[in-house]
Amino acid sequence: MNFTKFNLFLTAVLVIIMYFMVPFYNEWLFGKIINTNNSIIDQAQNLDVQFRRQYRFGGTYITLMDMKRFLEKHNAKGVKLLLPNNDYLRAINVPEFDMPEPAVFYYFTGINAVWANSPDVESANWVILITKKTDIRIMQVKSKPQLDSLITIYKKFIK
Amino acid sequence: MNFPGLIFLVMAHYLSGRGLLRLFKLQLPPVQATCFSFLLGVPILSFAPCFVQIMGIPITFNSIFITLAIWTFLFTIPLLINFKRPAFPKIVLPEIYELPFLALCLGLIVLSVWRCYYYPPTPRDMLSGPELLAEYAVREKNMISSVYTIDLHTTNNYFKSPYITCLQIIYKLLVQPFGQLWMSVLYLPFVVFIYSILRERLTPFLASMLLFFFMGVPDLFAYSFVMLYDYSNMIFFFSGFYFLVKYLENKQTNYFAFSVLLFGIATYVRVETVVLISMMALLPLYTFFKERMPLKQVAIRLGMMIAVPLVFYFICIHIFVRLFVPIPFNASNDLNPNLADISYFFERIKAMNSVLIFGHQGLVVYGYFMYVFMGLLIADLIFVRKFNLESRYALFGITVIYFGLPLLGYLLPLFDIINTTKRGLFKAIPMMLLYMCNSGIVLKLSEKIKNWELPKDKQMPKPKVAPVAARPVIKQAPKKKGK
Repeated sequence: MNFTKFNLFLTAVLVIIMYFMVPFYNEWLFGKIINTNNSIIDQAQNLDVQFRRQYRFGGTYITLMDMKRFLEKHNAKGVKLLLPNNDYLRAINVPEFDMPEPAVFYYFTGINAVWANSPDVESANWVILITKKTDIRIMQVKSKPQLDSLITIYKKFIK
Repeated sequence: MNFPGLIFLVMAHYLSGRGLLRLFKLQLPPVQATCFSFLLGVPILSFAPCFVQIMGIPITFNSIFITLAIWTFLFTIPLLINFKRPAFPKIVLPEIYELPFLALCLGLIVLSVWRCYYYPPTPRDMLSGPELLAEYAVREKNMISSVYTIDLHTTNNYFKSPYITCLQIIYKLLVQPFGQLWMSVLYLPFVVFIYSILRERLTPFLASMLLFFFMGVPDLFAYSFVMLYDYSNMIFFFSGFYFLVKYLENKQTNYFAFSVLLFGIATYVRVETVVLISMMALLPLYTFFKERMPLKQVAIRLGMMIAVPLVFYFICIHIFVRLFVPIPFNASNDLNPNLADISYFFERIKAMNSVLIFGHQGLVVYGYFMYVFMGLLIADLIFVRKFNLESRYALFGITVIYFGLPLLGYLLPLFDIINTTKRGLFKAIPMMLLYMCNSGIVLKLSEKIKNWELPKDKQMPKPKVAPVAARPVIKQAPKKKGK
């Protein structure tokens, strides 16, 4: 047995222990690498694509899918949805839901959407209304003044 | 997940990359040749969906599969023409003291590959750009999809290089709905390549320790499975730099040509890299003048170094954007309108230092890696004061990144500090590692460990200073007494 090699082995172990004793790397190890909330063994239990999307994107994704289902259920055709932005949601105290920008909304749902400052916002025919914490509604635009008033409100929160 | 599809792609990457590598006739160690076969194969195959689209064929599993097969066959021709029995690397088992570090590195690799497979693409830049385009190209069998009919005023990510869009199309069709696994095809060979560089210079103990230290840079590890351009850009930019250094050492033109190709691929991944490559050209320029190379040759080589990346720039901006993005593009819109105000450049340097390098944000992103590099550099300056050629080249490369990123921020205001510059600094990290493994202190330590490790009878004897002959005593002639 070459004791020098064994001593070097012990040195390597010691270096690793010291490395992970540094608070920053300790947090990184237990927060990001061997986090019990996302262990490979647990994740391997469910490989369904839809589950993995929900797992990664969380509540926002589930809500967006609900919106999509709602519009499909109402047989809505040629939808152009007016979305509030995140600053508006924070202003009315909705902390946990993130409204994606129109391009990302389209990626998730396949639904055409606009923001209040979009060039063709006037052609929006459906709107999302968020009145209080978990109350999200989708409504068809009934009149132009109704759409204009919403655009005015949402525009205030776009920087 | 479609495993046969993944195996087919991995083989296609390897064979096409190997074929291209053969054209350069490089004399690389077998491990490095294998790594570069994979690394080159990824960007080569990424052109396939563009080709299918140009031919007017719908983008389906079959069309992409057949195109990839033909593409791979074409790139394999150099291998078939000049067939040689492959030289398999001699397998050397790791030393017992390498195992703790290598086990951790392996753990990080497994985690990175798993997360690459398991998680869907998340960065906003991808979901509003390449990933969105790839997803709808697959659904609608056309790269000019319905995405261009929606409101895109909040993003300009659809103007970015086709590199990720095309790889995502390939992997979504052939492997799994989230694509992404091409990142692991890059990550693994790159890590092995880095390890082979370290092993060439250092004892296995220090090499494995530095590899673990490199892989443990928190954000660098995260971006090995979070899909963005910067990790790939770092790989090809550093590889180009490494072969440029090799060329400056061995003066073989094929190494220079290969370096230029890798710089070109780095530009294909991120077009603004062309600015950094132009700055990097100062390194060979200095060497050429030092060696008194004829002016014509200097002009040809430097012209090549700039022209090849510009060709890739042209492919991205003037072919891909013109053909596949039905929205007018004006690159000058992104340029700083007030270029006369140089102070903005210095503000960028200041912000990069205060926020990223010496700020708390820097610690979160790079850990202590940059501080260790700086500490080692200062220690070398104080105690060793000797820098070998490779370490000086590495320092030059780091300087290019250090001034090049603020320059890019000055030219393109969208190139912000918190996101773009932060990830741009990844390119300096392997260069810092290259410096570390050439640092005088680390080399001395490596030598000492190597000597310690050997049994006493095999150790290099310490040179004994002994006089070879008795020091001659010069007797003074007696002074003549005056009369």
